[in-house]
Amino acid sequence: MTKRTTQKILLVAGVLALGLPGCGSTPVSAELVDARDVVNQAVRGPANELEPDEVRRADRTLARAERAPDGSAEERHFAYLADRQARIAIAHAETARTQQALEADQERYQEDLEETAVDQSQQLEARQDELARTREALEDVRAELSERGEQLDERTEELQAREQELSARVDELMQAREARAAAEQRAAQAMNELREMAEIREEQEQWVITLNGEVLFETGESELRGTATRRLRAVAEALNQSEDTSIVIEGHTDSRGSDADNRELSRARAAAVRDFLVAHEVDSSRVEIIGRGEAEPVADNDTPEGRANNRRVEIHVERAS
Amino acid sequence: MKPVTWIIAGALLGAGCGGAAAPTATRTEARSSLRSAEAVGAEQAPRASYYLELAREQAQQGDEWVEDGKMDRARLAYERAAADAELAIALANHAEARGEAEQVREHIQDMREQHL
Repeated sequence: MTKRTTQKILLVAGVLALGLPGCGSTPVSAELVDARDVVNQAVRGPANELEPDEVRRADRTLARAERAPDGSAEERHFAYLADRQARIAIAHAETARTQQALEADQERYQEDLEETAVDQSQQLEARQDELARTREALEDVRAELSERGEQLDERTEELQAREQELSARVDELMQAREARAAAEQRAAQAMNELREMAEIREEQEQWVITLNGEVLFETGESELRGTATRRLRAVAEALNQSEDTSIVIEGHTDSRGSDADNRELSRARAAAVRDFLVAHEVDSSRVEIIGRGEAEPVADNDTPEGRANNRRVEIHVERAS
Repeated sequence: MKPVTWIIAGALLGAGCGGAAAPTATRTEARSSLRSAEAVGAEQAPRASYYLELAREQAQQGDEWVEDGKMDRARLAYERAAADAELAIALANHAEARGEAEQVREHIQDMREQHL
C-alpha cells in the first residue's frame, strides 16, 4: 500500500466518521433502550424456554443494533425490529402457556368426568340391583296376595256353603220344631180325647195313661178282654199322633200272690198291651215294657177298692220337647 | 482520488438514499403480513390494533420513500411494517386463544355445576 493510498483511506474514514451520527458522545437511541428492556424480558421470562428460536432471533437483532453506531438510524432500525421480535416471542409464549393451561383444565375436567361417570355408573348399577330386588319382593308379595286371594275365595265359598247348610239346618230345625209343636198339640188333643176312657196324668216330661186292670184283663190273666180293644185302640191312635216319642209300658198288680208271680203277671200284661199297640201301628222300637209287680201301689191293698186301683197298666209317654 | 474511491465513499455515505432498485420483495412481505393481521382480527384486539396501526403507518412511509426514490429507507420501513404486522398477528392470536380459553373454562364450569 502506498502512502497516497493510505491517505485516501484515512480521508474516506474521516468522511465516514463525520457522516455517522452518534459518534463519540452521541447517546444511544430510545428505541435501543426500549429494545434492551423487552429482549431482556423475553430472555428471562418463559419465552426463553417456550420460544427459544424467536428469543435468539430478537437477541441477534438487538446485537446488530448494539453494534450500530450509537443513536444512528441503523441502531434505531434494528432496535425497533428487536423490540418487535422479542414482543412476538413473548406473545407466542403467552399463547402457548394459555393453551397449555387450557389443555390442563380440559384434561382435569375429562378426568373428573370419567371419575363421575364411573361413580354414576356404579350408583346406577346399585340402583338397578336394588330395583331388581324390589321387583322380586313385589313379585313375591303379588304371588302371596294371589294365593291368599284364592284361599280367601275358597274360604268364602266354604263359608257360603256352610251358611247355606246352616240356614237349611235352621229351616229344618224350625220345621222340626213346628212339626213337634204340632205333634205335641195333636198329642195333647188326643190325650184329652183319651181322658174319657182312661186316667191321664200330665207330668213335667211325660204323660202317664193309667188303664184299670179290671177293664183290660180277667183276674189272673194276661190276655186282653174283648172290651179292652176300644180303649186301647184309642190309646194307639193317641200315641201315633206323636210318632218319635218313647213309650214305657208298666204292669202293676195288687199284693195278693207271690212277688215273683205278680212281677211275671205284670210283665205279661204290659207285653200284651205292647203287642196290641204294635199291631195298631205303634212303632215297636219306641216301646219298652216293665213288670213292676206289686212294688208300686197307688192305693191300700187291704181293701177291695184299693187293690182294684193297684191292678193297672201305666203307659208313660215322653212329651215332645 | 481515483473515481472508484469516490464511488465507494458515495455508496457508503448514500446508504438508504435512493439510487437502488425498489424493495419489491420486502414491500410484498410487509403487505402480506398486514393482510394476515387484518384477517386474524388484529383490528378488534386492543393491543394488536395498536401495532397494526403502526404497521400501516410504516408501510405508508415506505411507499412515500419509494416515490421519493429513497429505496433503502423504504426497505427498512417495510421491514419495520412487517415486524409490526407480525407482532399484531401474534397479539391477535393470543387474544383469541385467551378468549377461547375463557369460553372453554366457562363451559367447563357450567358442566361441572351441572354434572359433578
